[in-house]
Amino acid sequence: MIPFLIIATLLSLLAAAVMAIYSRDPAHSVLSYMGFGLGSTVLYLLFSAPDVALTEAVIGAGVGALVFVVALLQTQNKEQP
Amino acid sequence: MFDAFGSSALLHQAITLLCFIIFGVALFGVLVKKNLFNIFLAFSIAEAALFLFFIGNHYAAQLQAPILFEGLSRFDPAVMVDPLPQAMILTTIVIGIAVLALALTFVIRYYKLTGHMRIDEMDELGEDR
Amino acid sequence: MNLKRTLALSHLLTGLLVSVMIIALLGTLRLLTPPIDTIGETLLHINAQSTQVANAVTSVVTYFRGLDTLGEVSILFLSIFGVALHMQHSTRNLFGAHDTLLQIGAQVLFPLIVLFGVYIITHGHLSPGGGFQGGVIIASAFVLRFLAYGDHYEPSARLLTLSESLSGAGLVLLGVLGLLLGDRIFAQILSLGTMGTLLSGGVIELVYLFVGLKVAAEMTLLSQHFIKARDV
Repeated sequence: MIPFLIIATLLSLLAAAVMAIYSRDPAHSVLSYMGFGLGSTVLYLLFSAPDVALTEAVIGAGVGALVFVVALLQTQNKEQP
Repeated sequence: MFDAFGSSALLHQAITLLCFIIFGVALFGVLVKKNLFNIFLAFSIAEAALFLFFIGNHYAAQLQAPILFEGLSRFDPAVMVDPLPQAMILTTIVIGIAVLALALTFVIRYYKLTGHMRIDEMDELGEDR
Repeated sequence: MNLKRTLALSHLLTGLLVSVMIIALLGTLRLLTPPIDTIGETLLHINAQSTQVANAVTSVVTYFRGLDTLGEVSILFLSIFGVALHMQHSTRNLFGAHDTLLQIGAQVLFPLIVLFGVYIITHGHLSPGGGFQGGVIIASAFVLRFLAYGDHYEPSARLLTLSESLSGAGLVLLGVLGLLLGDRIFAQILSLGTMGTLLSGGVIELVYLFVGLKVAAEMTLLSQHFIKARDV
């Protein structure tokens, strides 16, 4: 059962990565990137690495999201890139 | 049907293949995207794909985390995963976010100085002028 | 023409020499190092006797690869230094929120989040967690305050600098003490205790305490510089 969960999570990570990189709207990119972080947290738990899962959850929810959102806000004042 | 991935060699091949597809997608994004924001986001995703590859290839079915609790009384490599890749990836995630913050700082500074952040409009070296 | 040909020849020769050297180096390394798959098993085997720590990942991060962690913390410091150089911070907050409900919620939640971070740091050798994770959790408590209070909140810069430099100095001091009193850097110089109790592991817990303080201060500085950035 767990190997199938691993493969399914990896496939959804692939979808999230494609959406994050090739989306035209930067806000969609940031949201998909957060989804990618959440999926990789689940995957680390399935790989029985709880330390790494905790790190990824904390970094992805705390600092990583903040950094990207602030960069988005700071670079969207004048023109739409 | 659930035992098709029971052998860890097949699982490792599937994990390696999918992780490198994600890595390739991200690398292609780094090469073809013109927006600096998307380029660094793609860099970050390529990094995460490498982390997943590193940890996933040290996992086999029914292995537990290398932490002692009530059910386990001693460290046994037969029932626990390898702690070394986990320790390395744990530090690398923290480094990755700090370096990403530095890169995005440069992006913000560049945008504040020039008003755009597309790499096909950069002419600071004076080749197109 | 002659000069060009000489230059091309010298480039070719240099490239050949460098590749031969790299191949020879890789071959020697491959001959010298044991097979990589057995390192984790060896670490698991010697973990119980030499550290008395219930979480093997913690003992690998702080004890067997302590020098790595020191280098990692210095990379973290350098990149935060670069961020602080390039984002001159002002008192103006990017998220200028002035909501009373948000402020009261932040006031209630702030000590709880800090307490949770301290718990994660101090129990890093018994359960999943440790200095890196707990440090970022403590920093996220400060991020909550930045978001809730807007322009009216500024953490004490002296406290941040003091905790960051003191924890860095403490980390280096622990390494040097291990080198002097023991046999290698971050050697075990305290008593081990019994496995499973809070005061076990000796040096390992101290290393994670310092790493947690340093990561908390650095991530707070990072988020402060990102949230309170000045418009150029």
